[in-house]
Amino acid sequence: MSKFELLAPAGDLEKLKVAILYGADAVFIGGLKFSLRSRASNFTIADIKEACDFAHKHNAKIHVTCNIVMHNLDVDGLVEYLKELELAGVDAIIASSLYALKMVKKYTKMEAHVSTQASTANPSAIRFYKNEGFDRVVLARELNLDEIKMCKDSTPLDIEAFIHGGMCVSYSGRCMLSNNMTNRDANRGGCAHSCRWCYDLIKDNKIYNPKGDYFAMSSKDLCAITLMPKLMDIGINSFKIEGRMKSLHYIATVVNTYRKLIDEYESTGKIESFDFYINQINKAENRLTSTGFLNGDPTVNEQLYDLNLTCPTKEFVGIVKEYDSKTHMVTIEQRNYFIPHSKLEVFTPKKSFIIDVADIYDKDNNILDAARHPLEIIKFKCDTKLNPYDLLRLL
Amino acid sequence: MRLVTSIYEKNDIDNLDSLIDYALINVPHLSINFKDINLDELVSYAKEKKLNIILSINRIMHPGDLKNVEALVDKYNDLLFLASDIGVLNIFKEKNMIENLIYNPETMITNYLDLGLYNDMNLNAIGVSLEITIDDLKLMYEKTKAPIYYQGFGHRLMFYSRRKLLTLYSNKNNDNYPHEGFLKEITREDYLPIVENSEGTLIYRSYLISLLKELEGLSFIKYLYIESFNVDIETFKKVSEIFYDAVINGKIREGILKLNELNLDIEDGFMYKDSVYQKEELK
Repeated sequence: MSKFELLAPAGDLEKLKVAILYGADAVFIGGLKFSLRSRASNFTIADIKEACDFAHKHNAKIHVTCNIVMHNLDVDGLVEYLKELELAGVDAIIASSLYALKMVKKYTKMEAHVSTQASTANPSAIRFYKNEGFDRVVLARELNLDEIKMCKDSTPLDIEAFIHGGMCVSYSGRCMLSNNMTNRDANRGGCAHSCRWCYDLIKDNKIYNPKGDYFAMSSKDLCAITLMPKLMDIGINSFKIEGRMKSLHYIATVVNTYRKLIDEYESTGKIESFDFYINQINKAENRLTSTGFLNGDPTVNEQLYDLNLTCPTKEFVGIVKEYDSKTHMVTIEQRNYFIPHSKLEVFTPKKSFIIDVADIYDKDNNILDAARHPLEIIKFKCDTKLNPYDLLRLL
Repeated sequence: MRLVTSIYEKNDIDNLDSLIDYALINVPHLSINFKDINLDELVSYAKEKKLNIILSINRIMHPGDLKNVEALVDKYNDLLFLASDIGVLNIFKEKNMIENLIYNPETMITNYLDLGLYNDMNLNAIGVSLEITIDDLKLMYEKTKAPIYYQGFGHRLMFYSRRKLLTLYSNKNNDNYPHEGFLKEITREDYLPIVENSEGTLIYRSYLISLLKELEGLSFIKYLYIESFNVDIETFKKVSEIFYDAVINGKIREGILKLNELNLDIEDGFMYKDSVYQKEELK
């Protein structure tokens, strides 16, 4: 087993299971209370118990975010909720509130992880949290590799770093743009992404941005593939992928890519071809990426000025639900349009391969001229055995 | 209650002269909004003027900043400091100087339970988030009796990035835009002050905030802070006089009338309106 934890996001149980099957050592999720990402489909206590059971069966862990910045009205029931989470089998709580973190340690045996919302960016801050008895610090995303190393070298505490996904352009937890412009509090899960809106830049009544071009603040997504060996050499304990609101296909692809990369570097001490991994990621990533702060202060290349600029992605057409070994019929749940007599790529946790699909049928075995409807059950014959949670991409 | 006034340079002290109770001096490169001043000279000057001094070192600190913070704290161990980073708080704790520190993590202390924990640390004062209602602020004090630091006037900060966003935008267009100005969202009418320095980019709310008419009910606040950023000096002199008379001499009612006469663009912010989680809650 790897000494590094690959930590994936999940917005629902299906995504959680996919994340684990495709290589995550741990998954972070939000419950119905105290969690940011209010628009992500958050988990009930029953869902969390099922998630923990599934994760533990696969030697994985579940971290639950309780990372809202609580107002007076929000604090009721926190301790009871933490105890419920512990009973459900949760391994760790991610929070930015000093009170919430202390309650985790006082009333449960779960680990207390300091959220990136706290913008922990130096060894002294890490020392503070260690002295409080917390178990892990998630570093601020504004640190470069040297600074991350200084933080890691300074402490025996577990250190978690972001390696992939969306980046706040502000220090996390310190942005009130959304709050002030829409009354939706980013620190309580309501971020309206006002940083991605279009602004004129004005001084002394003169508009400086050229006509048709607007000042924008948004950053490209983080992608640390080429820097993973350095981060592993530093000894980061946990590598975090952002994106509880991302799709199942995105989670499977990104998790599986980093899983294979970590395993290759850990077993061989080198990476044969970064291009292979970048190509894999590109099958799911539809936003432009950069290395964020990891190589130093961001340049123009790390900023996103045209929000319409997206990379084409391979089309995710469905997920395998079951396979009948006698009839060789595979049953899938459709996610995107495809037609009979297509070539599909089967993406599994261990390998990818190509299949030819002949006729396709609906759940009542009526022949179809196309799979048109998302979530529709589709069947087709496949001589190669497929497994539940295998993913299908259109070539 | 004591009055704290933001000081960016020597002229600010000369202009405001006898209206300053505590001078909050923004330390170059260790505070978020600063001018390139000679700190030693400014501190000496403030001391000559017999001002109480608070040194603001309210940046998020990176590993390389810590030695500068420690040196500054050792050098000015007779002064108060204002910090926003928990690592700086930890330095004061390790030096047994926690009583010299006003800890203000800006947006992060928003409930009485968190405030209570910080209050237990014996800090000189604790900054409470400006994104809560006046009722929430009062409840937090009632439950904790904590010494509170709170902004009473000026533009409020709403965005703090390590990225140099104006320089980056200039570079993108191969141009050289100013490092201070305003942003105007294209569908709105208000102007958001933006400023970039060597440490990052700040954006403030378009309007000014004033707690003057709420002041009688907020007498528990230990330090009331007034911010001069983006307010012209003549106006800020008048505002300082009004707040000095209100806070130090108890002349609040007269102050409210005088402030109204200035016709400033003042709004209530979140004083009477809590923020929400989701769009669906906006009715």
